[in-house]
Amino acid sequence: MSSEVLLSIEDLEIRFPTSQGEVAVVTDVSLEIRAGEFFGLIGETGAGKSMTAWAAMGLVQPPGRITKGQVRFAGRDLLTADRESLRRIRGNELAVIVQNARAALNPMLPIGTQIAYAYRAHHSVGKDESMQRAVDALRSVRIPDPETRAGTYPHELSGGMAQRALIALAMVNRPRLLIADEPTTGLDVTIQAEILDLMAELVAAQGSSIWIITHDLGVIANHTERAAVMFAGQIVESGTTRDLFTEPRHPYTRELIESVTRERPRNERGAEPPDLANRPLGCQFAYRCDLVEEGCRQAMPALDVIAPAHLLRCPVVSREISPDEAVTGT
Amino acid sequence: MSAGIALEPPLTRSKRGRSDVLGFGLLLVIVFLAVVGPLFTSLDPNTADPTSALLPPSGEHWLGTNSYGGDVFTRLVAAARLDLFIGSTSVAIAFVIATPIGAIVGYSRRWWAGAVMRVMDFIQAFPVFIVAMALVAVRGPSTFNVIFVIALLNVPIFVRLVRSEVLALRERPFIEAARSVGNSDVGLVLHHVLPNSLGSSIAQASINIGWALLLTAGLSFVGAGIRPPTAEWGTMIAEGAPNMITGQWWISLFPGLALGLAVLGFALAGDSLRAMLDVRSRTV
Repeated sequence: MSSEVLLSIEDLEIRFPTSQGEVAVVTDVSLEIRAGEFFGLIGETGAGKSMTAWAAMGLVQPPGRITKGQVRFAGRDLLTADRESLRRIRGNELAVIVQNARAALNPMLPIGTQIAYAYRAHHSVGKDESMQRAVDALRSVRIPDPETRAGTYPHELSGGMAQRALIALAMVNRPRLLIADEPTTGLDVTIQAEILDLMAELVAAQGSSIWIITHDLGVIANHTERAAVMFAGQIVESGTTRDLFTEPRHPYTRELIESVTRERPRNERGAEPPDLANRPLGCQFAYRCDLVEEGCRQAMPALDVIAPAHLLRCPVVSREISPDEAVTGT
Repeated sequence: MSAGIALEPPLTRSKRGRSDVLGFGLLLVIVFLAVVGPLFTSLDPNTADPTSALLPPSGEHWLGTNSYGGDVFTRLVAAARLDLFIGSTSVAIAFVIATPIGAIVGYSRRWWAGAVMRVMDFIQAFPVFIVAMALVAVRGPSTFNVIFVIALLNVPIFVRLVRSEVLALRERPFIEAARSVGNSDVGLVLHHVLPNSLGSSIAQASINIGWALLLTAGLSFVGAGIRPPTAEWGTMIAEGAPNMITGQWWISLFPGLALGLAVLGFALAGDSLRAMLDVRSRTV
């Protein structure tokens, strides 16, 4: 727990222009990932999870823009870094695995060549050596007969194989942090587990960290040590994975966990996320919260530290837990 | 279909195949004639022979002779060489110049990308034939100038095409993924963007060669391109035109046919290439 902070995001805000004006898709997001840590970010579609990850990679493309906050990786400020230093960090120290592997591979290039180019983006080596590295990377993700497979095109691979190839592409430069954005969406359930285990094993073997972004609670439960829950572009609760699952505090976290652990009628106030273009004034979740109080709708609640390493954005629950000394955190 | 809406059936494999065969077949025949045609004839395409003027097609002069006794077949074959050379060279030059411009303009989000496109608009705003005539008039008619003009007119077409492909490709997940592992902008464009955009450019190139043949012949026909007596399909049509009325149809007809078939061949081949090179339609 006391190891070095690898990635820290502070007070991040990302805005996108829409027909209804500029919309903050991510707001007030702060998180930290330490060296060697397995971190998870949970949230429903559109909660801003992927956007937060793209910001960490310095890949928020116009017209989207980061309007506030700081992203630091291993002590370096990524938001003010120039293009070339960002490029050197990408892939080499920080890599991402996106959803839909087949679409994430260039259809016109053999997979081995794509991986070799990624290696050569960070190492001044010749074609033969980089291709050897690519074959090694394919072998490390347990693609059978990697020498031959290096010459195949993405459309010749099955979904699972394509996902493995994508992991090989991301891991060839041995990054210190691997961001896995919905890494198993679209794969068979049996292959999902295999891919996740493989990814965890590779990352652990080289002492790197992993940041899994998903809406699948099972993935978070099985593969992370610490997690944060995102709702409407904000983090509403974060803590150790064990705490989040055994003692979920935020009404939204509880709803999430109950939605898979218990047969419970759906929230009768609907489960639609709030309209980001017309955000409610106070707590974003208030409109469908069982614990809502008058104060909830008036001011944005802060993230309170309710236990060591457990943050919560719900003043009502915070007060219940420690009525006298609700410590206000960031 | 008995009732209801009769839908146009999609091109079946066999129909697709037939137009492939026709297109590539035509090109093959024309290129073959251009390459080995001179072997079939001992005559010189540009020599006048007044003693055998205006002879109809016969065993000796397969496609007849023209008003000053030039052998139409010999001239047709010589013209095929020249026209194919002009068409392919000018399009190749345009292709080579326009592809990097289109790629940079499509990939970059800088202000000058728009400025480049306005220059292309400017070139394309004029009627093609008028520009070609004006330029050749200024620079003088010569093979080189015809190539120069056609290349210039082709550049905006390819810039536009490559740019639009690159604009679409730029947002594809595999480009994002390639960027996220640290590929430089140059590497991204060279290894990931351009190879994926080349298919439609190559298909377009074939169509544009046909179009270049037409333009060359047109320019020559009005005297702004290749000058007679050099054998060129357009000049041949022009020199046979006065004889059409007096019944010597063979002088203009055969170069006209050759031109039409060549343009058709390149157009069909372009379509076939587009279907073949399109990764999206490629099946496993």
